[in-house]
Amino acid sequence: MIERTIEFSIRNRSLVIAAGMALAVWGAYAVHHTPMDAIPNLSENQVIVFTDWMGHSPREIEDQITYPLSINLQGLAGVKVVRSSSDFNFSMINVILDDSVDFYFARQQVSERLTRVSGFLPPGVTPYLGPDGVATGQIFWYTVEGKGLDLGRLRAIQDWYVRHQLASVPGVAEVASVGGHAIEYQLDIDPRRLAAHGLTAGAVVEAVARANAAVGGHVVEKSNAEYIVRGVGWLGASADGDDISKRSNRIVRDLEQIILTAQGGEAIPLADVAHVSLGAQFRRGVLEHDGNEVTGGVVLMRHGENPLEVTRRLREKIHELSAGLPPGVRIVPVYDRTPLITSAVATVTGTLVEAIVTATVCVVLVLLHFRASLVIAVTLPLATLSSFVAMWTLRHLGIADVQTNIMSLAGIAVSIGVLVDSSIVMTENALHTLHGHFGDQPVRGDVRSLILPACRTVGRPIFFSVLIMLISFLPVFALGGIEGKMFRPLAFTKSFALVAVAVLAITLVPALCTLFIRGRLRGERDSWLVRGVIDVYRPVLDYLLERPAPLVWFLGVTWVVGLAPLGWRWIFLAGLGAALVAAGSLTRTWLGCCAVIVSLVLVGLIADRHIKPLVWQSSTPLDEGMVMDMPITVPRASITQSADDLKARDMVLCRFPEVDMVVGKAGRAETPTDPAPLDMIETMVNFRPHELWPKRKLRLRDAQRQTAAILATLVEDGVVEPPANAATGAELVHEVVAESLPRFDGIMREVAYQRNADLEGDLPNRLTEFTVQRMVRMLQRQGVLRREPSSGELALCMRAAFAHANHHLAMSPALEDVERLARHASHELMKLEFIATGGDPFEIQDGWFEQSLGFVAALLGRPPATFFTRLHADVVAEHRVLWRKHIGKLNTELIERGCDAFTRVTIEELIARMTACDPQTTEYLAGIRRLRAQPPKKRHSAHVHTHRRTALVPTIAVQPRIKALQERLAGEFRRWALLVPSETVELAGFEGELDRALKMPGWTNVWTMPIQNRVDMLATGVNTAVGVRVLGRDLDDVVRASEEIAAVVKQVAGAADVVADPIRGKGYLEIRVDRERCWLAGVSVGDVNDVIETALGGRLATSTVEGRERHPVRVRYARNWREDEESVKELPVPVSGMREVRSEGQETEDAQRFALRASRSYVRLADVASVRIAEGPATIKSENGLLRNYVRLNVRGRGTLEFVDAARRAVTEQITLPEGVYLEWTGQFEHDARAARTLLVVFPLVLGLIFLILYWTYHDLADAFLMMLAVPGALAGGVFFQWLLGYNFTVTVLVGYIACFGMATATGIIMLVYLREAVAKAGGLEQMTPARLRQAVLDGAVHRLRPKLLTEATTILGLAPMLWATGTGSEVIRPMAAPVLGGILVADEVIDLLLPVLFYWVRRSRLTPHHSSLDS
Amino acid sequence: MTPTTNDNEIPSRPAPTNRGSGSLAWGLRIVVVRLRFLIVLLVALGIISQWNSLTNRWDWLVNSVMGPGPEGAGNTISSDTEYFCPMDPGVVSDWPTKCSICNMALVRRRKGEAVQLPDGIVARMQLSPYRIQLAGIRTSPLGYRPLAREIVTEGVVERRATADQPAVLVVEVEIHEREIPFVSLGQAAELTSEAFAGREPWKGVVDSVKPEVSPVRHTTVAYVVVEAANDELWPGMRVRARLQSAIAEIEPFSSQPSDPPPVSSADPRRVFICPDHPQVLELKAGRCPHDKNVLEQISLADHQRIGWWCPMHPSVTAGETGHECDECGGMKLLARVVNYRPRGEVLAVPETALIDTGERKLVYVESMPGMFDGVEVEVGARCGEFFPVIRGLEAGQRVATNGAFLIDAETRLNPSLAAAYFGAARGSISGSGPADTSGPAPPTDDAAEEIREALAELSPVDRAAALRQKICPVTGLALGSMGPPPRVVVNGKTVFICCEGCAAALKENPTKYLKQ
Repeated sequence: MIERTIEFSIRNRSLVIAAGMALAVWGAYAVHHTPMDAIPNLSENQVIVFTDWMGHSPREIEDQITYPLSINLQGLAGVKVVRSSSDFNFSMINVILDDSVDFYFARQQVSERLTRVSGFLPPGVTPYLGPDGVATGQIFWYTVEGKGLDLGRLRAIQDWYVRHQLASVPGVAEVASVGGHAIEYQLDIDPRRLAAHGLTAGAVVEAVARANAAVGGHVVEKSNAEYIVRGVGWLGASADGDDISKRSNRIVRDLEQIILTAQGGEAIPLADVAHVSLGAQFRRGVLEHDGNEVTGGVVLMRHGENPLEVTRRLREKIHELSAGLPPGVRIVPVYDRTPLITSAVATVTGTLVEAIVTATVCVVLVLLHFRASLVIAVTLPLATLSSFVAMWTLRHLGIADVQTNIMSLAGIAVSIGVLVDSSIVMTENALHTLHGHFGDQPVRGDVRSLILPACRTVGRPIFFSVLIMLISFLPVFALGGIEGKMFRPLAFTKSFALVAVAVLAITLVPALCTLFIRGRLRGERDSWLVRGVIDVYRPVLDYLLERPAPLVWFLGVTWVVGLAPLGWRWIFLAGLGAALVAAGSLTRTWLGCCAVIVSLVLVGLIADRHIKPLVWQSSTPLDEGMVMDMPITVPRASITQSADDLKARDMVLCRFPEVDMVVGKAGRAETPTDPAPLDMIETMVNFRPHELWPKRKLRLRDAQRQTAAILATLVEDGVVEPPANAATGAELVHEVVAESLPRFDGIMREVAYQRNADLEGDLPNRLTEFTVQRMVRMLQRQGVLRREPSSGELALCMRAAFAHANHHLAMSPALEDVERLARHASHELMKLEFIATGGDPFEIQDGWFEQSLGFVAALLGRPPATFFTRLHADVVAEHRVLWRKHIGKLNTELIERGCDAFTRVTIEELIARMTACDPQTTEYLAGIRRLRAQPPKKRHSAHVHTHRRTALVPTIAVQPRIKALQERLAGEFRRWALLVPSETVELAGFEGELDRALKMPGWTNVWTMPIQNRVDMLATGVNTAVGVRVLGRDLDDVVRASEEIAAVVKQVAGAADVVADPIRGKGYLEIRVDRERCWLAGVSVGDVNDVIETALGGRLATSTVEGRERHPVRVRYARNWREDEESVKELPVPVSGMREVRSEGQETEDAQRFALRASRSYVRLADVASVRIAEGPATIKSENGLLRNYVRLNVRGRGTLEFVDAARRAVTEQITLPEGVYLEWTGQFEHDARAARTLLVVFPLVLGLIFLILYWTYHDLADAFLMMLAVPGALAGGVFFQWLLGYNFTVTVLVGYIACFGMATATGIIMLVYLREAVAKAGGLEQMTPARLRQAVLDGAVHRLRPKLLTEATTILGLAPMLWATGTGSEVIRPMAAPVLGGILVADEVIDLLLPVLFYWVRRSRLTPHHSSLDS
Repeated sequence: MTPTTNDNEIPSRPAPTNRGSGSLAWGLRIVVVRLRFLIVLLVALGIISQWNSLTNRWDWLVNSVMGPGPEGAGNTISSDTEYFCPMDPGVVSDWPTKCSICNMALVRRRKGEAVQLPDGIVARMQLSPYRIQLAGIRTSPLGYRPLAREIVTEGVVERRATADQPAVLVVEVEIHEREIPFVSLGQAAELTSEAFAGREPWKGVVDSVKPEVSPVRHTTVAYVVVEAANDELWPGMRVRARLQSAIAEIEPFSSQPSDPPPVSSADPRRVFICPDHPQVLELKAGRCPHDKNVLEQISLADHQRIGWWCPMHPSVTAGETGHECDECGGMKLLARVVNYRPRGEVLAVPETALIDTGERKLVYVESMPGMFDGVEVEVGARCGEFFPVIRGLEAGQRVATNGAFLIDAETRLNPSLAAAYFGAARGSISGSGPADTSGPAPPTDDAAEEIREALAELSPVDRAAALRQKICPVTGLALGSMGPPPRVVVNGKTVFICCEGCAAALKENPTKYLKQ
């Protein structure tokens, strides 16, 4: 069939080529229309059911909402587990579904069930579904900022203008507000005055509600015209028309004038019993931008949309909206997914282009035939495009939703070598055949009949080898859970590309070969490259065919070294034993045997003792190019505390010269997808582009060298006593460097920050100047200007523009800023009569070329370019240029200062740690230290005279000797010092520079990344390596058990960051009603509850109607009544029933008085209830109806699985669990273990399958074995390379191995095909002597050499750039490429040398019976 | 490597070419060649089985040639270790530096291992100046303040006859049970009425308080005589009464010593104390009997005097040295610092410094620059922005007024800092020694149980010695019957005594007590 396809393609080549072109066009279309995201969506398939119940404690929410809802949501089709959490104010239930269940079907099912359940819930509580986005769907954050407007006003703009407009952008699921103060009208009642009038809070609420309404009175007919009657009773709608600006003041006044009817029937205004004001609503979230509190929004994208497209639409919409904002207010985008996506795509596309170029260059160099290389270069992009076509088709058929992301592109990138392989082999064989036919004569005429057999020979093995690679990749599809989600896109694209290549290799490639292989062809020996290799290869193989011991020894060494990092002793020893036996028994002499054994043992010893075994790790998360600082504190944190700390932290972060902007959030955004509590801060740290990072870091090596030099000089100059011995000296240097480098970093950071701040202060003016100049030049070019403006006139324009320059220009010049500047400047030009006032001077007049370009852009959905977009692009470029220049200047300054600073710091640290010869020196340094150790001066209480204290800053006389020494040493240092920019890794992460700078007491730092964090926030599982899930019926039992487990696990070696999730720790003010005392006082429990609710929480009376805005009116008690537990105790509770108090028998005057007092209408809250401060749960989590808590931990310096076993044992031995509590061990290790298990099961199966296929194809057991021989070689090579490059075992690496094994086997197949063909050519095995067999094997192997060289070169040169890829997504590509590269390198040796040798031996052994039969 | 099947053929081939040599040698050679595979196999097996000893020898070789590598030099700093000073356990650092107090190199330990904290301190941490600045922590010294408790209540004006005057205006005000201690006879009261808003309040004096408390409303009635009664007030009128009572006058503050007596020349003005054991107080320089640290010299403040008392019987006190407690049978009284408060003032702690967890109230005291100790305190009712301190704090201590929340949160996040939270209680380290069963058979009754518990707090070595000694040489009581027995070194001998009080007696007359 394959042969027939080839034949058909060669016969109808024009048809095939046309089809290829059509495929390319289709592919381009598919690329453009596939949703493109950075990272595969790793979150679980879940539906969030969210319920608000304001003001209620977690326990209430759990009992009344979460529990009934979650037990009722179980049992839906495809539900895996129902996890829930009850927090203060809200309940969140995550219905986690099987991945196969359709997202929208699941939502529909859940919402159907919800309608049924609602009856079980308290009145007024409605559960609703979270927005139809996924966890990774938070693609855009913006802030609404404005000078001169308060946070309440800004929040109103966000809530009632920006939010709804952005939510209307197609593809947006939800826009949630965060931060700022949502305003409300507050009526603070004085209960005492209320009581004086005999009123209740309920009456006030009712009065307010009635005072705010509009009614309709049908129509009035007047002189045959109809007039609609409208009674306007809205608060703030005054009789004399609407004046928007003062509306809120008017509403306050209107509220004050609401009439209440007192007990006696008199009418009193509300102002008599309450204080009315405009205030902030109860806040659960704070947003902050560069240290200032702002308000803003979070945009969630709809499920399955294209983020790039949605963000573009959002930006457009924001540009449109900006025009309608009040002056000074602007929408600042602070987080945008686009750069991440584009850079991830750029990384992989770059690799692809590199690979295509290298492949083409290799082909040209080796084949010395340019047109043939075209054939090969065409297949690579075509295969890539066809995999996009396949994705597009599957997507449209609704079979599988494979998106473009870093993983799917990486899939194509790692298979590049394979993709060109088939076409190389095909083309090369055709070349070889034609060269054999034409010799050195140019090829002419129709060569189809010649090429056909050549293609037929290799067509089948090529197809098979691709098939085998496909099959070998099957295990990746078998991966489940997160790894499956991560790697399935990769497996999909790779498989699609492989299939495409398999098809292309037998259709398009033969067709193109007939067209392109023309002209004079070169033989194998014509290329010096091939010639050189053949000249080495042939004699070596010739020698090894008879004496394979050196080869076996060499492979044995590779094998032993390769197995050592695996960390499995018995495998290592078995490998060593096998190598010893094989190499030892193949040597010819005893001496050789001994040498081989001794050398192998030596290599084994070195490998065993000095190669640290690789450990199993969780996959590194993808780098998102920015970090998120997500510290947590104790749950008692209040919004004020959190907001203060957030600002303090962000101001520290802002001072890093690498940091462009920080946006922090404490608490939650108002969306069901954000359950963050107040004790959690999420700060996104945006870095500047890497090229703008100042060089401010000293390399450790240099620091040590300089420290050692300083130490030597100090000793030499007799400043300090010499250290006891060299070892103490070295240790001292080490210690001092560890101390002085962070201090040095701090100094340099500050210097760089100050210089950057200088530039930022300067930038607005310089950019404004540039904008005006540029605009004038552009106008001039358009011929709009009447004449060239003089410098004085230009200055006038600039002055007009300067008035509108703002600091945002310095950050990133926005289009609207540039436009405003340009317009103001142009007004000035108009005033000066440069421009005619009629007509639009900014209309662009394009030539036909620009117009056609614009037309194409419009076709692709891009907005047309305007005058301002062009001007803006220029300004942005200028911004970049100015920054770059500045950084260049800064770097020279930094190195100058750095040398001084480091020398000084080191001298101080060194002397402090050693014995100084001169006591004055010690004293001097001690003085300095004391001075620094003092916290910054602050005003103490009044009796300390502050002015005197500040005057008393002690001055420490500089020691001339130290000073001279410092200057000399710094001068020496300056001669060779080199500073480098910091790395992202050094900045972020635990113990990174950011972490060290943010060691804020009371906060535990956590470093993560925005998308990752989103996934984690909504993942209800465990996000650490190991977690113990404690499930139980009673909360206290669960808490106690988890704390005990944490204490035990902490003792197990390897445990790090052990935390039992703190369930308790939230402060509660608990009011427990005492029913007996209630009865005595005649107070109903309902009244008590009402008081608690109204007095403390406040009650919503009504909502105002102010144009488009709606604000609530809340009634509650004045602040004095809800300050602390003491004031709560004093709350008056109305007495509903009267109770006569009669003492037994006697009725004294006092008893009467008591009775009188008892009949008074109020009692104190403390009289009927106990009020106390207590600790309670901050969040209650449950799973399938059982309460749950996690103990989370990480594992360091030990294999996770091994650790879990040990920890599990320790827990079982040491802890007796309370009744009803049980444990489950889970965490990422589970995923890893599952992945490893899956692969361990599937992988041998796949190998077996491949073996079977090979056997069926060739009907030769020995050959099938030989073809698989490359796999162990690839394993050893891969492991060794992996160890060399320092990658631990992860699922990513395993995927690399899988890819590598497939490739190795495929190469083996091709080699064997050549060998078999050579034997067949020489007349088959029957007419063979050993010598002829040997000759045939040599010929076959050498013939294979050229294509082999090509495929090897393209594979290795194609993969090598991935190893040093640095962009986004490189952390996935690199560990995957490492084993592939190492594996291929060693496997190729095995295939090149061992395979022919073994083939020869196998054939010779079959030869022997022939010979013996011939002999006899 | 699978070529073993072909193996025999390779060596077998040279055999036919060499048939000419001596047959014996030839036969041997055949055997050797044929056995070679076996020998190689045996050698390989031998190597594999002896691999462990081989690796040991290799290590020895490598070490002797290259010298031991720097022990973990590269990874000394990690996030789950910290450095502390074994001598001053409060000094904790993330970096391997030297102790800021004793200049000794800090010792690395894993975070999360509990520190033994001094008595009365539930948490302790050392913060660097940078972290203090980062968290915005501010401290201020504690002082005495004339705090007053304000009672606001309502009452009705009546006209009554009193002992002095036939008819005066009296306001009958309702006083809650809780507020009764804050009302005293003759106390000044201010009366206001809403009807006369803005008028200067009328002055009044509490004339009498009804002793009975209403069983229903838990209130009683106080009568306030209005001093300058004029026509503005009329019987039946409702007024608001504001009574202020100085906290210093009220129990338990009133029994705190006040008005320091004049300092006489004989009074010692400086003492030596152990920073970790507050009960250790000497008048001469020396070392702490518990941890052998040098005692710190402290000069007494103006309001502080030295008093003598018996720790067993707190009521037995004396103004000067040399007295004995009669009830103990001649125990010498111990010195202690007595804080006198100024007249009318009490020690006040700012509201912002107090952390209320519901179960306990904590204040963070800065004991050294940057070192914060969580101290459990007992305070009275809030008076404005201050709480009067009943016990736990002393005047002059600096307490964290700003950022106390963060310090408290830090102790909760880092359990090693806090002994009281997370169940890492004091003494649990030494209490879990393995030598529990080495002593005599466990006594059965409660007293013996108590003794056993007390002894369990000693280090294993000391416990063994104490068990050998069994009784206190001074009092003859069983060791451990008064808590963990202190250890005293007299005349070069280590002796355990039942309580601190016996130390002085023993030192004064060692021969008398050590005869046994």
